[in-house]
Amino acid sequence: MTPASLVVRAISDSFGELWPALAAELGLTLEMASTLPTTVDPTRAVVVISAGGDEAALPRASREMRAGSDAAFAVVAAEAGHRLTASVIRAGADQLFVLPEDLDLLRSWLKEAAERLRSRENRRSFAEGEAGKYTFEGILGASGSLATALDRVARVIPHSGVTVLITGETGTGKELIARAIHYNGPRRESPFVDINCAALPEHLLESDLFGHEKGAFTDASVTKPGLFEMAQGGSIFLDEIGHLALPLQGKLLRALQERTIRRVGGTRSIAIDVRVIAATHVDLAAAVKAGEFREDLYYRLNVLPVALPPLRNRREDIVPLARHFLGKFAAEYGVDRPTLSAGAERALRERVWPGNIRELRNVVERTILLAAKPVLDAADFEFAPVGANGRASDVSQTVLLADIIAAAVREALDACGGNKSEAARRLGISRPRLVRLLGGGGGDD
Amino acid sequence: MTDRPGMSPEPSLGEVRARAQRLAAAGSWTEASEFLLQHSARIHAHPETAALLAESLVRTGRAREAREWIASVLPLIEASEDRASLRRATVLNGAAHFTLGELDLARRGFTEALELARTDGDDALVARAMNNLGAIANIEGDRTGALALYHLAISAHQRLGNTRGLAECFHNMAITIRDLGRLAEADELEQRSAEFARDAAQPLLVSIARMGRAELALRRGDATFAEATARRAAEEFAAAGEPVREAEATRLAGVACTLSGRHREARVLLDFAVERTRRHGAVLHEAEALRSRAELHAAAGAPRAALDDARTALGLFGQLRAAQESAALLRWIETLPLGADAD
Repeated sequence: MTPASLVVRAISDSFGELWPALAAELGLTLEMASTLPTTVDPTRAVVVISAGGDEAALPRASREMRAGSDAAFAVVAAEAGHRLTASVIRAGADQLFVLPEDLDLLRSWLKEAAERLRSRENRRSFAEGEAGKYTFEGILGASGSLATALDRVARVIPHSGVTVLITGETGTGKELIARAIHYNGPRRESPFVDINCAALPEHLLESDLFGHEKGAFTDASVTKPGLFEMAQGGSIFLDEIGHLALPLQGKLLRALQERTIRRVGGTRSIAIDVRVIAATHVDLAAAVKAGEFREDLYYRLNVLPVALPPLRNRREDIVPLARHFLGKFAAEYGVDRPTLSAGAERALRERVWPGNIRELRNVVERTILLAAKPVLDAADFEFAPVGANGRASDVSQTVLLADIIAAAVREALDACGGNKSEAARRLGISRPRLVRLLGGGGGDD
Repeated sequence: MTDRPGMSPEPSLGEVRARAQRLAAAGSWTEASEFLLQHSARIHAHPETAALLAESLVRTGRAREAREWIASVLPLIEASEDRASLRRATVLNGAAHFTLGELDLARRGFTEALELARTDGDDALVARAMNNLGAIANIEGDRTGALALYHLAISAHQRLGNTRGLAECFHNMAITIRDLGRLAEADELEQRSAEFARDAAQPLLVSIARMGRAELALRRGDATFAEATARRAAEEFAAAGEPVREAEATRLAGVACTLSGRHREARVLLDFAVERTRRHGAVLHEAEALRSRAELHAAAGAPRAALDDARTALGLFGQLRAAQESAALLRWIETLPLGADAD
């Protein structure tokens, strides 16, 4: 990364010795310009017009400078009355400094301007780095079901205002797809902000998403912008949208329809320019039927649904994914990359993978760390036992309440030989609720 | 001024500032603080250099002196038009109070810094202040409040493309999520922290995230993964010249050995952790190492030795006013079968 520049247009000879010292101190490359630098790149340079002793030239120089460039620029004089100050500021200068009295202020202003340039550069290189991590080529898989999902995603990417709803079981890569949409699209240099809607209680989530004004509630000691504002220009990823409380659903719907938000305790509408990407592992259509999710919000979100298949439905992708993770973790732990024996490949392919890609990744990492061998056999992989319900029975892992409920429902159903009415009766819940907890599928017993 | 033998001419304020900035840029904070303290009377009214002295004091652990210095210079900085120095001094004020355990004053300092940063569009400070406010909320047990603040800090770091800040924030968030009992989610966050730490070329932060994962593995009873991860982290800390963190990672490996029933190995590792933390005056870590060794003694059927270590740990927790840890340890001591001691 090349350092930002300090471009100085000296109208008079005063202060000439100052600029090399200041540029060196602030880590800027000094460029002395013989004419007004109107073609200066505002993302790479900060400009000073210096006119000690020739102050009368400053208003015109400021006007010309501003007409030609958006770069931050200050003017420097040996003396300045209110009239001169007002006219250079009106002409577009960001600041006027009178030297030597204002030397510290000039230094401080230049330092901040340089810092802003560095931040901008950081942002750009961060976006490039993230885009490199979340390329479509990087999403491994040759299965038809994944290809369908990716094809749909590819079509939505250029349309930066379109809302996307990603569905799929836990661990299928919903967040990866959301990031790929953001970092491969036109909003890539603006923030990608993600929030798990199941992670916070309703009142905190509301303030987190929409912000609050000072005094809006007991703990609101300062005004705080929300995540929608922080994502301005970029994307907001609302994970586990199915857990959003009904009152917040209404507020989110308004934000999507009107493209404005209002902070908690606020009276002012704030315009937002944000792509919303939502994700869920629950069946939202069934939640709508049960009155737990607003129908109007569902349709608003479901503009372009992307369904990610579970790993067990894309078995041909399992071994390539495992090899990818072997390479990744071998590099991370500084060990030689092992290969998979035929038996290991078979074992990986045959497993149900209730935790999907996340589980596969964790299993491979553990194996890399614990089995220091050039060729890995099936016995080198430690799998969590899978219950009759097809879920891993690793009770030592903390799981979401929703997952525990879903597992209990599946087990009850198994115990009742698949009879949903009986399973619902045993669980003390209604049959429609049981069907919904099972993930929709309204077939008869 | 004419130079006299044995006396060098007094440097100008500009020279003082320039030299201190060079020292700070080179990471020589101790030298910077000593140098600036020699000129403290002269730099008192100069916001930028005064803020630099405050930072060098905070960074070298002289929080009490930093607090007093900032109290004396802050009104002058406020009266100046130097907003950058004002923001810097305000956040350092919060940091000094935080180090001294004065959480209310720290919160006030960080909140004021946050407001200044928002007004002035200083996104980096917004992110840092939010992260610090989140850490205070977490210490005070307000986990959900901490999470809300971390979310905002993360989005601010993302706006800036600050991978190091993201690594720190995700690690802090993982600790909060861990304390809420959501271990799998916390592990995901530690992995993300490590990923951003690698992007930022911060190997120390990668090792810190690794140690976080070892702790999580222990909490879910996965001693094998915990031990392997903790040993690796300990090696990395040793190579990086981080003796206290090395001791802490070694302690985790020792706990994992205790859980696996390999008491002799556990003893070696925990003895090392106790000795190392004691030598470096890391009181909290020493207390934790002693508590872990007490648990080992209890598991090995030596309740008297367990009681000795637990009592020493209790004294240290008391010294730190760590009430929750003390209470939990007292409850644990009551479960020791002291009547049946075979020692």
